[in-house]
Amino acid sequence: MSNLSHKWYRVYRHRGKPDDLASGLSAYVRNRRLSDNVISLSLEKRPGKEFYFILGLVTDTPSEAESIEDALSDCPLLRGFADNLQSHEEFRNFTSGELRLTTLGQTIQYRVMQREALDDPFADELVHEENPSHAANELLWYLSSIGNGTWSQLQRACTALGMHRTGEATRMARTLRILGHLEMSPDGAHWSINPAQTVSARTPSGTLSFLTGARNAVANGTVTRQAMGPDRLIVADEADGFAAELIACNLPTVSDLIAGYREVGHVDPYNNKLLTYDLNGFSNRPFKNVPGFYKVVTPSDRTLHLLLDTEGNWRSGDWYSLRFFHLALHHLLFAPEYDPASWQLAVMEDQRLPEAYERALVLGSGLMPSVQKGWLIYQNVSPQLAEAITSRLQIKPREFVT
Amino acid sequence: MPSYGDWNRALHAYFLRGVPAGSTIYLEISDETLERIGRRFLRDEPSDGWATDFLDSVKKRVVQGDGVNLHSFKRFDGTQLECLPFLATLVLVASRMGRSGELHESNYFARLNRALGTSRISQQNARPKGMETGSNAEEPLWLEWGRMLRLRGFMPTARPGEGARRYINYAISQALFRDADKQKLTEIFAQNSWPRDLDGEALATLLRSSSGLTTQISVLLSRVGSDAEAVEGALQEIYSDWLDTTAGMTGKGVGRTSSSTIHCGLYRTLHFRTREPRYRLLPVRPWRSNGSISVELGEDSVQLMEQGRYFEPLALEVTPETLRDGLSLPLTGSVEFTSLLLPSRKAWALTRDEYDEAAFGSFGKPGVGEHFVLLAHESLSGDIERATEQGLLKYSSKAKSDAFGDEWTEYEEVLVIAHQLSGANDISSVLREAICPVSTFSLRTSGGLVVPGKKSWLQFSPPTIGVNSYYSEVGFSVSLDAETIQEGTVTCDPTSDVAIDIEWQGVGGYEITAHARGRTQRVLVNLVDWHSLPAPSQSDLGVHQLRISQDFGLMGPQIVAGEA
Repeated sequence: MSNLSHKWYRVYRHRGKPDDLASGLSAYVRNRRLSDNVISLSLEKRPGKEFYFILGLVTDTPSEAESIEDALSDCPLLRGFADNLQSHEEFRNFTSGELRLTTLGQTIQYRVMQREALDDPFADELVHEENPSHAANELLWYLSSIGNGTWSQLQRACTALGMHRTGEATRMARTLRILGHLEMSPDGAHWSINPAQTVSARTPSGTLSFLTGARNAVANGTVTRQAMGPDRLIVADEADGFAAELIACNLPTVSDLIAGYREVGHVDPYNNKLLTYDLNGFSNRPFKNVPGFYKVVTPSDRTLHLLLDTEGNWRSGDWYSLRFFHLALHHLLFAPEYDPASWQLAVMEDQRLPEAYERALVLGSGLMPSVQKGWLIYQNVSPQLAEAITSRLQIKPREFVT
Repeated sequence: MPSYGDWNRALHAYFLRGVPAGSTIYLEISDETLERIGRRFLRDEPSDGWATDFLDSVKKRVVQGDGVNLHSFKRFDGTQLECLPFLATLVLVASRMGRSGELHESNYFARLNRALGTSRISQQNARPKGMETGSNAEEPLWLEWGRMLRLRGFMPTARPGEGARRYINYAISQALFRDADKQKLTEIFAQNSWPRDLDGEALATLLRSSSGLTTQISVLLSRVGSDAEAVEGALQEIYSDWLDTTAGMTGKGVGRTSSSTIHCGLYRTLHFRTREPRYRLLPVRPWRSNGSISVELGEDSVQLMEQGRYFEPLALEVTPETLRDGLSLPLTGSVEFTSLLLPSRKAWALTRDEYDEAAFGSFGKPGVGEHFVLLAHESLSGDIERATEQGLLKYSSKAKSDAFGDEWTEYEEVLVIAHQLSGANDISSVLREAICPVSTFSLRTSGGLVVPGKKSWLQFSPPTIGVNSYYSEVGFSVSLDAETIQEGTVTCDPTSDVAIDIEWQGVGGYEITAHARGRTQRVLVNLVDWHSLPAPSQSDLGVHQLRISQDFGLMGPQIVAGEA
């Protein structure tokens, strides 16, 4: 209690059930708006037919005490007034037996804490509508200002910017990664924005340069809007080399890339529920230790997406990479198509490339792929880039079909 | 001899440098404060003392003939306020009068004339020549000081008074603890054998249960939020001064005793998928800390990184032994601070991190209606259950702490649901001191898009201003850049959180004040536009990479050597 408030007690005699008394007094205090002043009720723990109870009262304005007592005098439960105690010491001296203390006023009711539901940053995209580019721009400005943070902070920023549906934060995080603006820690718990950098790409007519990484609201450049992510800012300065081709040439093969994904230890097929991926999604077919993509539901009901590789190791990673590895392990990949005339490369939408491969393709233009009839179309993919990517994938591209 | 400009820079440094955004600022000037500022920021102590030197420099700048010229002050230029030493003079005069207990308007201006060497306007009007009317002389300067503070994310405190004291109240309102209060505090310190390394919050807690406090001390101790931080900072300075005095130090250039410690609390995060808790140390930034400070962790030296009112949590796991015995680690890089201390406590109340809703830490006492995590030693479990049975406290779940074994229990989503808990003498005082809200109502910001490192939000995504109270009604007012734009009353619903529906009017500094039963609480909300976002520190960028092989990773478009 504050040092400035005046607290006193009123003692009453009563016959009846203590619980009825407590609920009746509680209703009276609430209805007469006395909850700021009548705060506690102390009852004898083992009352007989007639027993004493004590009301605890408090006020910041001692001159109010009389009017508070007047308001109590109307209560039929408070007919048996016995004594007024002016201090806690008097209260202690008055009571000898054990008391049951309950609250009447100056309380709040318990409520459950509001918690944000966190998405999985490496899940598949549940949202397929396009995000407005201004929200993606603002998210990039905001995250750039912080530099790095937790997944919870990123999701909260997405929510504040209007991207509050389940999966929208996941999709924005992936878009920013593919465009070279952001990276995540291997467990998805943290992120950081990359330093600002100019990227140059070969074009049929020369060189195209654009900005990646940290960005603020006044960053200069010729704007290309894209509905799927932040604007591309084209600049005049050129970088050394063509980043997309350099990345593509240094990418490992699919089997080497799988070996780089994080091992997660043993997964017991008896204690966990394992759902096997096939072209129709995850199914309940019995687990036969076959390498591939699995949805693992733990005894505590957590869901993980894991890959069982050909060596019998369980590995974690983003949903699209694991699905791609599954298709590769089972020779189910459909060759990408390339058009050397328009420098466009198309990948089937349901076999989206692992993140590193897709980043190399996207950094050829600085633009996310467009979606057409089940294909992802990547722009400004030079013949050298197309050759490097498809050779790392060990798949010969087919002639482009429009 | 330091010039007016030197004193101005020193005052700005003393009151604002290193002070976290969102802090409440009092221009608390006395002879002692000027001594402290002079010793810290200016060289060569003048023979007549720092206060005389200060007044001489102000006289040279503002006195013309036998009056003052206040119209030559430059307006706030984005970095410094030129009139600050003059405002400090107005507070110094009030402080000297407060000592002699004769704070009347005519006496005040007579004293001001003596301090500046100026003449009164007339026999009837004691104001100095050049300060004919307060509304044209000192008031615009006080308003400019408030505007500057709000622009920099601080909470101003200078307020006009009523009637004849309207203008001198700006100066009077800048004193936190007056001389009589300081005298009472030192008496209480002398009567008790409190530890030397108490932080401001612990001092305030101990003082609240002390008897014989002055009304002003009681009022100050009932403050919460950033207002309470200012009080705790001032308390710690008074305690340090008293410790120095009792240790026989003159205080001149000698290292402080108690203030050589930086205090720590706990910071608890949950893995976002596994929900496993992890505890780290959360160092509290000392009031007005400057420069780079590092902590020695074995063979490593780790720099403390500022993050608002705190330093970033230290990457040092907290063990059961650390909790039981406390921990002291050496600091380097600072003359003032030599050790980092985690006290040994049996109850830790951890409230939500306003920048990361999934994390909880020692961010001050829980407010009314504020959920917290309670990490409690098993010796308190009986008290916690008793408080729960009496309807004073409630939690959603409890579990033996994975991190600290059987001796410690974590209670989740705890809420103090009855104000009576603070006076329930059958419940351990250790528990009550750790978890009871200081006030009977609280005003809190939540949500919105916070500008990193500043107490600001982006204009289109302001915070929600929630009110929780053990009382049924709380009044509120909202001002934008010192102009009241909204007033009303909130009827508090005991069953749920209530928010004030604020009529935001774009970019600017909003001060939201709630009042109930003669007590007030304030929060400052600065709304800014996208162009006000600060640039990141380069070391904050590029922390992670996408691993593509055993040896290499990608950082955006760049191939980099792989992370270990």
